[in-house]
Amino acid sequence: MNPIDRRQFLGAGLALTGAGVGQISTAAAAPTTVGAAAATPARRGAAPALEVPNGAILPLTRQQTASGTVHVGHLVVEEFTHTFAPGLEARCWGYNGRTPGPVLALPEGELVRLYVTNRLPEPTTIHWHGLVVPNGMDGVSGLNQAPIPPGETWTYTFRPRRPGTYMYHSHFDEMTQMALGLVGMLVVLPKGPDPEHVDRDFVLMSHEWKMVAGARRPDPLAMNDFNVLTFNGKSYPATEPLRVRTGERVRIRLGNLGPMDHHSIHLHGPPFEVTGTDGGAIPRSARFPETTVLLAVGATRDIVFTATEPGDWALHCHMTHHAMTQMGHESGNFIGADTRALDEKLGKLAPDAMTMGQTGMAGMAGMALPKNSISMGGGPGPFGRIDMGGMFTVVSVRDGAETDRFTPPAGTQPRRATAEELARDGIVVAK
Amino acid sequence: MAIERLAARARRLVFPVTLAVPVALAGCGLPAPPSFAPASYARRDAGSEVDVWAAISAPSRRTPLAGRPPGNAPVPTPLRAADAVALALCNDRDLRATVLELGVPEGMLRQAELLPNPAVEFDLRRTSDRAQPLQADVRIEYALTRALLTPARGAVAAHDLQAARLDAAASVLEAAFSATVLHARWEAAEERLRLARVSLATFAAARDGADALTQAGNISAIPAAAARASHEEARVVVARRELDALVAREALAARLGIADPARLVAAGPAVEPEAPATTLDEEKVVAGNLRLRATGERLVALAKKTGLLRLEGQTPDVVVDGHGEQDGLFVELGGGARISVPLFDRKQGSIAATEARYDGLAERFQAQARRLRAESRVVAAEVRVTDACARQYPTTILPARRNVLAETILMMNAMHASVFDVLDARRRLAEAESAAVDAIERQKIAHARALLLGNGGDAPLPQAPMSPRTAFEVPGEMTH
Ligand SMILES: [Cu+2]
Repeated sequence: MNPIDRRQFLGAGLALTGAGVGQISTAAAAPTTVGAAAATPARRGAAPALEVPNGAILPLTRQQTASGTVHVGHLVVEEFTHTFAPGLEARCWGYNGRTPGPVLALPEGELVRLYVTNRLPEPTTIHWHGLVVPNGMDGVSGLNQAPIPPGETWTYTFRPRRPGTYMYHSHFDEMTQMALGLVGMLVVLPKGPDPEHVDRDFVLMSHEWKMVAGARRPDPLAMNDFNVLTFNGKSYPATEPLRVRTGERVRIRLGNLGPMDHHSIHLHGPPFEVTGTDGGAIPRSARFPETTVLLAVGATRDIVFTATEPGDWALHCHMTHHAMTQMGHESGNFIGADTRALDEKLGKLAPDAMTMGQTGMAGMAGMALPKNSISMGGGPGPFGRIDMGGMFTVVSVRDGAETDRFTPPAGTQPRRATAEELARDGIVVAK
Repeated sequence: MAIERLAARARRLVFPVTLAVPVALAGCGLPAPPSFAPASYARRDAGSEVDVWAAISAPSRRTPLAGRPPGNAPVPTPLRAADAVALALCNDRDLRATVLELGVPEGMLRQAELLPNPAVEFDLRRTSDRAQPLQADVRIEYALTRALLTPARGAVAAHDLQAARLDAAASVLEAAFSATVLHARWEAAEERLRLARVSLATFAAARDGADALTQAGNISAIPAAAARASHEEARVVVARRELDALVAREALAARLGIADPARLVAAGPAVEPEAPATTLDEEKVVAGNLRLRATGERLVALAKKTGLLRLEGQTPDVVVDGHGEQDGLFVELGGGARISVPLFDRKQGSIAATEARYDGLAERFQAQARRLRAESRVVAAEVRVTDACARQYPTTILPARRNVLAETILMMNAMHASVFDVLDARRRLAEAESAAVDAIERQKIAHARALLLGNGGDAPLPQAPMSPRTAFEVPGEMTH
């Protein structure tokens, strides 16, 4: 199935689900890769559907009123069990059973009415981060509005003025509510053609959580040592790859509403340009090629690149502790230590215990772990274990079907050097 | 008057009941499995108990206690509490002496019950007149009053004998009790030593780990020095525990009459508490106490002796006699009586002395009873509390500590804890196990006291080992 057909197929699915929705839907969200623009005929240069790996887009219904069309959506703010990756789940707060909440894909210039039902044990509000809305709709509790009490449903009405990538989040008890997951991405879809002419349009939101190994609720009091790092609420290996076809022009809309940390988001392979922020599009004259973008807390960055090279290209935060899951820092530095005397005694005192880290930390995978813990993360890859975790995913570029396995052509992988090669090139390896 | 009431009470306490006390005498040739151990509260099956009364009753030379030379009984390995009791009863020379000395009141009773002998006087007389025949006089005298009072004297001696037997029975129980307590202390001391060595091993492992990290250049000097200090402190604790165990072992060996304490082998890890003991009935404790009953017997004996003295003092001493005289051709027969007139000596002094002894002993009886009541209440409380505490370890505390260790290992695997945290958790487990040993030791001793009291015994705890128990915890930081 070629990508265009696929988008058409999925778009038809949305049309079906949206057809009979006359009232506010409390359904969690629509399927992953559909968007408001999906129903429009797909052609090169037209805005492609938003794709939200591991995520969803909020379904909107259209209400015709005397003053025009109103796009209506419903966000339910609630607590639920969220799975970061198999084996690691937590009671989180989010929207419509998700964290981040479903992507709000709002049409530029049209009236939007969003219902917000608060099922939290405390009040909440929603702030439309980066949008210029009437001041009373800006969502800062106490400054722009009274908070929404538990059990009540309030409405926000505004007209998004400028296409681009934005976010939404709670603006009441921010430390707690954002740390527990009350964040989401918001995309204003352009009325006309997308000036970036992308073929694929992904949305990825970073977040960070503090989860003591074995705990079942993120710690909102944490100020550092966040140890669960996510793209769209998932830690690798649970992150869905971004599957594209060779030659496609790809946009990834990045956003960060994590509590404390900025992220150096690094894409392996083709360079990209940052084409826009939540402040607006960046003039072409001001763009420059990059392989890493600093995604600050409270900022969005649109990056655009052409997937010129087939293969599996890592996309991850380059801060090493952000590309592992539930990394603990209490094991002590045993690299280079001769622990034979210790191990002999330990074996008698606690036969289940084993010292580690004398040769590095890679051997720690596969150890028995506390319940609800996936310390250090990682998972199987085509060439052995991928020991990355956390904020790590893959841009999977294929010539053929997007789900094909990539096999490096002969001669394009490292291998063990032969004696002849060493001799030929005059390499002497000291014994 | 109090004295009469006491006397009445003492009479009620006279020893007719079977005193079935679970005293183990297996090592002395009886088929009884050892059963002084408190567990035998619930299993008084026939054959597993020995009647203390039978063990000490006359003729004392044929009692099991006296029947076998001490020191020859084999020492079972491992030595359990009941074995210790059996050995103590076989080998306790004081106890054997007590039993042998029962022969004294037994002999006194026999003596008291003997009738006075008749006196025969025989005279031959000749006058200077040789023609006169030889004159012969025969006179038989019998102390009638004394003979009539013989049963009363026997009754006094019988009560004295009964008192001695009750005291001897109490001694048997007390010997068993003290062996039980010393055994519990010894076992606990050995366990505490073993666990102190486990604790020491955790410190040694931490020291090795810190040394390894120092040699690899990964840590500052402080944690290594701290680990070394903690390890040395733990060695001091082990040394103290070794002394405690040695003292406890010697105390037990002495009690059991074993010359070579090295023959004592403890049963090993014993962190299981005993089944909760049944409650102690204060009234039964007081009514059944052997020492108190012995005092009661002595009071009865004194009361009877007072009555006897009063009778002796007021009754004329009647000596009857019959005599025959051959005077030449005539034989004269006659009879007579000699009667002392209790005019001055009516044994007033002896009566007063006996009454004073009675009064004094009656006071002691009261004090003894009052103390017993207090003690039975205290021991009942001890049993309740130590039962609860001892149960708390295997049911709650130790599983929780084991869980801490298991979870710490998992956290180490997750790099959220270090091997030093694991060692720390292991040491905390050893400390909890040591505290469990303390709790179970206290429970066993409380059970032994309850059993002693419940069966009529009453004794203070044997003297504690001279080395005071030290705090188990060693201050010192774990290395990180
Ligand atoms: Cu990062």
